[in-house]
Amino acid sequence: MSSRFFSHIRHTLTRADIILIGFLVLCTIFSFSLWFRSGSGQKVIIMVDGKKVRQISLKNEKKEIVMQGLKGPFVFELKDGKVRMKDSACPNKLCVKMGWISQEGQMICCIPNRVVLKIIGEKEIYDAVAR
Amino acid sequence: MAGHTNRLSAPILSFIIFLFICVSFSMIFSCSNPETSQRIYQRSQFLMDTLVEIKAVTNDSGIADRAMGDAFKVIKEVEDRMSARKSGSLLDRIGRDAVGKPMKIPDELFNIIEVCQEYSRRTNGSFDISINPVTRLWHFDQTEKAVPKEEDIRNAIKFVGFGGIQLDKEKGTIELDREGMSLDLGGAAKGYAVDKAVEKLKESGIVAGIVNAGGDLRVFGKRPDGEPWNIGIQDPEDSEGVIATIQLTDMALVTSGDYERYIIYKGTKYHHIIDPKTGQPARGCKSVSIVFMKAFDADILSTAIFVMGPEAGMRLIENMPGVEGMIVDASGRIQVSSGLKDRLKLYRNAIP
Repeated sequence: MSSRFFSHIRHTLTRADIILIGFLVLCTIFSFSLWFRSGSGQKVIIMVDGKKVRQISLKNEKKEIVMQGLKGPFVFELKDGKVRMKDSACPNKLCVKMGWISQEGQMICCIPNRVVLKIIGEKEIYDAVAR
Repeated sequence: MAGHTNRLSAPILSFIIFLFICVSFSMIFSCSNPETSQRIYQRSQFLMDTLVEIKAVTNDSGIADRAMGDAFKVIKEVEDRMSARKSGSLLDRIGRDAVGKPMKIPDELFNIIEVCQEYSRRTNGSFDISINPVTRLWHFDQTEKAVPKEEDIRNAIKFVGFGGIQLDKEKGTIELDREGMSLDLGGAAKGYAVDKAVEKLKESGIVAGIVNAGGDLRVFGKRPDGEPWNIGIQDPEDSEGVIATIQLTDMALVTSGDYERYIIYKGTKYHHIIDPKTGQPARGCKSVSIVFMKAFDADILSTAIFVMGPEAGMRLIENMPGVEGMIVDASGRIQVSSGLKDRLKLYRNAIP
């Protein structure tokens, strides 16, 4: 059945046709791959004093990172697509008490140390969150 | 026979090729999104003891930069003018110079205090800008981890009472009844600043946007894709989740929650929304969200209703035209006002 189909195609199509089809198939696969790549991948952005200083993918990350805030160091932890503030040079540790966040648009602020950890995606679910 | 098949399959093959072309082009165009040059620009700054985030929709990055810079400047100016803590500030001077004698104050501050007084009357003092003698005993952001002594609160609360503030509209003056009174606009200044920042963005040619000062937010216009803004409301019981979402255009949404600023002392949580009658954190609610045209009023109402508690609070929401709201009470039950029921998408069950 299939050999009949292919021999039939060989007789109907010219070499140029096959090249054209091959090219179009490649185009399609390429644009599909673009589409899927943009759909995945939450990131956490780290801002110090209102400026973005770093951006890390949340996917498959499991690590602790130490960085410098305005008042002193802060430590945050990435695990299973979630992020939390583990410690920060602030008096009250409200940022630490907040625990884990995992959804796009959510963030942890350490106001005394001027640090923000915010989760973003290619397409944000929320334009803003009233906290 | 073979010739017949050839004639039949040539259109089929062309159709398949045509489909490939369609799919390829649609995928490529859906990725590059060429139909609009309007986009969302965003910036954030630490102001008014919180993170202020601004989103601005425009097709010009220069306009976006200038407009957002100016809007942040407006917020900073409101912060400087309305601060109760900075010594030498206007509110500080009222506490010293307006006792027993009228003091002339700028029109802007007069108008703000006048609106606050009106809300104090409507809420029977659940919102009260004369609460400063009590709030300054509480240290939610400082290293001090103890709660104030009951005796100190009892002494300070004698100086709390909005009835002791006299305004003279014609002369533009304020007078405080007794020595020891002082004012704190903490429950209203953020909302006021958000409104001013939105005005500034509009003046600067921004067609749509959001100003979000840590839960006091106001949106205007629509997203570049023509959709309303999609706003999440923080779940007071779960830092990871939002409790509800709402689609808004040209509206303010202010949430007051017991999770925003607090200290834990001997196993008890003491949060920053203080009942002016007791001097202690109000215990009836976990969070109150108010939807209204202006962030200023919504800010005052969210604080007042948090203090009033879920029953009286919901009655007030239902009685005020244009005001809608959601209350999460101390046991975690959710109440939604009648005008919001169809617009709010809840992720937990509300009481019917």
